[in-house]
Amino acid sequence: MATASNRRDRLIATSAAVVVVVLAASVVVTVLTAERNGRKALEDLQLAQMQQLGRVLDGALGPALTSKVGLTNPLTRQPWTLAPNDASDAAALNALQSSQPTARTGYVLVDASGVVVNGTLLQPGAIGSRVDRPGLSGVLAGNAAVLPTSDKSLTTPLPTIAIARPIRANGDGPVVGALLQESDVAADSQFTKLLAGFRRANTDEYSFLDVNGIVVASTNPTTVGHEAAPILLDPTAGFHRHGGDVTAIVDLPTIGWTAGYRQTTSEFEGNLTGPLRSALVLLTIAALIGGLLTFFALLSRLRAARREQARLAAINDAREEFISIVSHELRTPATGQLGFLQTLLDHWEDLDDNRRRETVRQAYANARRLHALSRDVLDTASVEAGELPYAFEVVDLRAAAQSAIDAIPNPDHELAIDGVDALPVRADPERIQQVLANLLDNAMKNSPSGTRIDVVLDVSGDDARVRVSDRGAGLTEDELGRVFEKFSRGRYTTVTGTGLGLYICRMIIDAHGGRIWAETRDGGGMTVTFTLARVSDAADGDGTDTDEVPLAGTATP
Amino acid sequence: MSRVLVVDNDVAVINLLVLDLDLEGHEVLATALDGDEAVRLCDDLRPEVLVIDLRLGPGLDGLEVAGQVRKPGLRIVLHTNYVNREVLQRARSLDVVVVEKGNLNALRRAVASDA
Repeated sequence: MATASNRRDRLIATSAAVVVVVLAASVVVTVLTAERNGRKALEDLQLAQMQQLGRVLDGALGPALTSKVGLTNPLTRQPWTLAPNDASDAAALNALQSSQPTARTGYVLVDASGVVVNGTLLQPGAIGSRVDRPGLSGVLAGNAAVLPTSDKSLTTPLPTIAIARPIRANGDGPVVGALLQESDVAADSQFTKLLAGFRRANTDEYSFLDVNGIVVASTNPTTVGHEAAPILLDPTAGFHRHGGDVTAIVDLPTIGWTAGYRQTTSEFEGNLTGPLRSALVLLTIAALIGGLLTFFALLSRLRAARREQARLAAINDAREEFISIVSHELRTPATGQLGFLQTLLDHWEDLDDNRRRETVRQAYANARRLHALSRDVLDTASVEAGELPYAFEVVDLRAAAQSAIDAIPNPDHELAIDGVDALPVRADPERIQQVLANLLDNAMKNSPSGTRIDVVLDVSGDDARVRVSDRGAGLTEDELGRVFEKFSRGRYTTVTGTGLGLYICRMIIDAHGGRIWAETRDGGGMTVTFTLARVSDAADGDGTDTDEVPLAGTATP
Repeated sequence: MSRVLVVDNDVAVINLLVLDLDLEGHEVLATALDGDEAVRLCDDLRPEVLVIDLRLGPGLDGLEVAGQVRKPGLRIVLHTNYVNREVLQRARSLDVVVVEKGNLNALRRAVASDA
């Protein structure tokens, strides 16, 4: 029963905690979704940025391929002579050269067979040599192109790219030669310097690759002129993730290049995931704590409720048991009393005087028992309501004990009193009588007829001490501990009673500031001892009492 | 007149029954305070009537004793404060007469109802 409700309590508390955890999980999912969406937005943004960059570059270099500038001698506005070392051609090339913002772009004229005829910044011996660069034949076939990066440069020992445009006779005639603008590809090239401004973080890297995947310019100068890192050579444009890195690849269709961006994933997402992750961790911790608190709070609430329920049920059980016990216990002496009287009446003539007297005595004993029991019941109610009145005066315990013994008519036991002759205490004489009567009654009920019951009075320090011992079966340690509890009853077969007698004794002795306890008697049986504060002999004697007297008490006989 | 065994854990009740049944002309063979002794005395003394309380403290109760000792020629009277349907059913199944405590006339009739 108890375990079933415990299990139910735990189930309820666990369910509540589960609800909290589920809510927390949904928050976590929401945060993770937000993170995913945020990441996607970030990727799109980065890609868009790269596309913008690509368009700008494509837009800047593209027109250079279709430009007419330089396809005729800009100074004479005549066609290039394309004669080796022609002075007017050289002057015009120098003019083009000087119009460039950088001195690192050289202008070279080749004839229709690809042989160098003139140029600026030329390496020694270049004039007359055949240009050995992939892609030039296409240009000489009539198509302008950006030639891939090559070490076979005419203008510099560094690798260069070259914008090469065909020169046609009369502007649209057959190809008679080509104009090459060679720009070096180097860590300190103009282009590379331009790119350097793009960097915003520690690990981001912007690069331009030519058709062969050679880095033309990069924010990472060490890569310039070399083949690009594999992750930048991803053939498809778009946003990619490669382990710890992200890349954004954009094609520049006009010039055939690729713009590539790379960054470590953690840095790329740092600004996004950092706060989200913190929020997530905090939310998760809060949810777990909330769940645990909910679990334990509910559990303790439910357990307290169960305890209260059990307590009330126990009180109710005790009350019902009390009613059952009391009604039975009151009925037994009432029945006995009536029975003896009826027997007496029905058989009056059959009985001699002695037997009549004995029958009356039996009826009287039952009436006495009924009286004592009803008083116990009523006193219990009064004691618990705090309404039992006490009238203190000086009482001699020896006389009180003798009186209690004398009050038992024809006892079945041998009742012996021993110890000091006079033992004055301050007490309510009626209540002390009740205590002694209950202790004697208890002793008689717990021991066989004919056995001896000892009442011993002595002094222990400042205390007067009374011991009532029987020679019955005694009690176990456990029973001894509970003997003063309400409704505690002995196990001796013939023991009957309400279980109130010793309880009332304890309440009365407590109210007197004394102590009462039960222990096993040496040699078997039980001893109940109580102590009360002793009154010095000097204070004793006048018999009058000036103490508080809530209700008038009667003096001990 | 009947030969009677009286069993009750309350000495006062035993005293009453011993006195009254004796005056009513019956012979009270013995008395017992608990169920186990009641079974033993039934075997030893072979009474004609067993008057027994239901609640006898630890051990057998009155109807359990009745279940053990019942036999032809023995009338069993359950003398108890605790009369309810369950007790009456158990008693009927054992051919036990139930008399409520306090009704001395009914007890006398039950003990004397000798064919």
